[in-house]
Amino acid sequence: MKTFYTVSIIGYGAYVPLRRIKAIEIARIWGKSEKVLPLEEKSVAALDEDTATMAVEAAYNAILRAKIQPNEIGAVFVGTESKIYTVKPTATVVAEALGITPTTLASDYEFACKAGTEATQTCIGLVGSGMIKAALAIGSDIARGRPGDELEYTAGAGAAALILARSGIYEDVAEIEGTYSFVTDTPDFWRREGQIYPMHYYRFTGEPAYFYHSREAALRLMNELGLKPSDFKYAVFHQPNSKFPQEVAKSLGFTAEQIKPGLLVPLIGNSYAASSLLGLTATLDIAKPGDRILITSFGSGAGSDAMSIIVKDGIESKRDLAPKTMDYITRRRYVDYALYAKHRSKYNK
Amino acid sequence: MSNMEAEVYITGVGLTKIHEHWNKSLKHLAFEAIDQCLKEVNYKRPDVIVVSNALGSFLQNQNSLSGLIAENISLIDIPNLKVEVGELSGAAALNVAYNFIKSGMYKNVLLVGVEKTSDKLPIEYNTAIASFLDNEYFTYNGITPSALYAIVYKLYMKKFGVKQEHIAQFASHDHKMAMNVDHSQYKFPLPVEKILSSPILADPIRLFESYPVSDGAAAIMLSSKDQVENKDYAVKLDYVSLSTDKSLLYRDDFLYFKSLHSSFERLKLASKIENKDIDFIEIHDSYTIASPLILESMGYTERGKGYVLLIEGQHEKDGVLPMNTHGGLKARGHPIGATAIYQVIEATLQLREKARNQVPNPEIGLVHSMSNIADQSALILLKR
Repeated sequence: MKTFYTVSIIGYGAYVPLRRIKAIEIARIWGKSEKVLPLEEKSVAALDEDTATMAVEAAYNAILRAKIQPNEIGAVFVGTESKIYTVKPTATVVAEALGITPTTLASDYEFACKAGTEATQTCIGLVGSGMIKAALAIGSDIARGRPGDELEYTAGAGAAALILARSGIYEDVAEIEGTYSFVTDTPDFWRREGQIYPMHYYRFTGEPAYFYHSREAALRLMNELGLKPSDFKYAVFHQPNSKFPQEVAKSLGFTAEQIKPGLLVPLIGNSYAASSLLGLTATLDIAKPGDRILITSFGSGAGSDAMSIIVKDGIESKRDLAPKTMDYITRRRYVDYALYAKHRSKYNK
Repeated sequence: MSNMEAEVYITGVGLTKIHEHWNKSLKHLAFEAIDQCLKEVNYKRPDVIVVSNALGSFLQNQNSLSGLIAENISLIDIPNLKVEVGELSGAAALNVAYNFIKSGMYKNVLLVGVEKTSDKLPIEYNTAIASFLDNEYFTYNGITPSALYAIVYKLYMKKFGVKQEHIAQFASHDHKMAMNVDHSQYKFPLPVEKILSSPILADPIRLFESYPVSDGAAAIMLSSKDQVENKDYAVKLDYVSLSTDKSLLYRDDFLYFKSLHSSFERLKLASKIENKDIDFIEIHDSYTIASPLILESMGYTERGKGYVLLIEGQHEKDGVLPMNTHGGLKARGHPIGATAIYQVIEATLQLREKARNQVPNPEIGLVHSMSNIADQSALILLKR
């Protein structure tokens, strides 16, 4: 999918909460073998954090890098599956906090872990058609896993934001080369109305869901753009655990080096709608002008968005204008299971 | 065998790769196997269809499966039936098919084993598997087949002073054999260290000592002698022997498969063969501990020494008793109701001398199947 006008990322921002819990600590509670843990540790949002506060943190960093007046932003979309209200948009809270209201579009997107890239694509469409000048796409989630369930080891928290505008108007960080979406009705993971924790279909979440959709979206995008894995300097895939992104990258022909900067899951867990976008912000933090980056999200239910971007000169002057992704990741405080349960309100749910 | 009885031959075989077939239904899988099988017999029309399936009524909520499969391949003007005897369903269905021909009732019987277990949650799958046990006595109290095997495993190690690394090697053996087999589920080597460091399933059983969750279908055409067209391909189904035992906790000896012993004795008597005449064997090794118990109950080794032939390399394709040459339940897979049909096809390939891990000049092959902990045992004797 391509736009009428060329579109670029002009600002980006990340946010990861301060607290961490080690997978081994969760395993201690549930008597699970240390040898089969899906990652090392995951981020834990504090009692006073939610999807909106994290979205604001990430978007604020994106605005700093974009060097844009908030009221120039014509759309705010928050991709999340952990909305603070079932009915009432998160995006209006975020837009108001950042001074973007009142003349803006604002709404929430939900597509499991790919709502953030879906929001990004909508922004690309809106600015690429000339309807609005700049748009803000955010992926923000405090993932939920039932105590004792496999998901509890990986369900992390984080937010990432991108500001998009027509190329050449602002200082461009990276240009969008093309996007591709691939979606089917595949029920691998879901949460019904009124349920607190999601359900998942174990191994069905692998090949028929994550791998099939990620592979198809990435392959079809590369095919459409006439590109091959070696044309990319970096690649980012959705990160539900440590194994899946590495496996899908390998099967497509990407090397461990290509995915290394964006592979954050061993340290922060799966931040759902923010997961692949955080991988992108971490990669942008170290990328050089001219580098081509592939980002492929995956959302259960199921689908993948793939996007190819080329880093522009603006990256050099902009990356230091806000805290980097790794700054948040290395800033950490460990909690035990009891404190984790308090912060995630597990005692009263 | 009196002269009045017909001889029974396997004239055609077909199977699907054992896999997690997320996008294929029971009838879709069955169709693939049947189509391959009928191709081998030039689409000869069977007189009856016998289906083996153990869990379809539980997991797919599907009864009348044989009718569904028959309809799906447009064989609607012949009888069909389904056989269910737990994990031994395939062998029990084969026994029915065998006797259909032996009695002279039918000349060509299409036998299809099919199972689909992967698209259910683990709790649903385990509940289904546990339904093979006496529900009132075991399952209701939370006792599953793996829990019973765990008891047997601990007892075996204690009584005979055998170490787990000896027993776990049976899984390594299966994986080594499956490496070059097209239809096997897992084609990677599995060293003992990896098995012993895998998570505990039911102490002391490790995850990699158990059969996997498998989907698949396998089909066989059984024919009377006068129906055999391709003599090079036909393999004689010489004898089928089934026997039943009390459920584990009522037995005097937990570490001896009495049902297997008695069905083997009957088979040897009827076919006038000895242990040494058997050129290879396919066994139902649902858990590693089952393997030494099977070999011991059949008299291949002394009690407590069931792993010795394995260590000596005697279960390799050129050993004294080549075993599980297509990977066994551990690596080929265990699509419950279809498993015994896969085993019989693998034995047929050996006797046709078309197997990937070909045993040199085999004349007689034996297939072993069982339900639970030899609650029922079956032996199927095939001859070139």
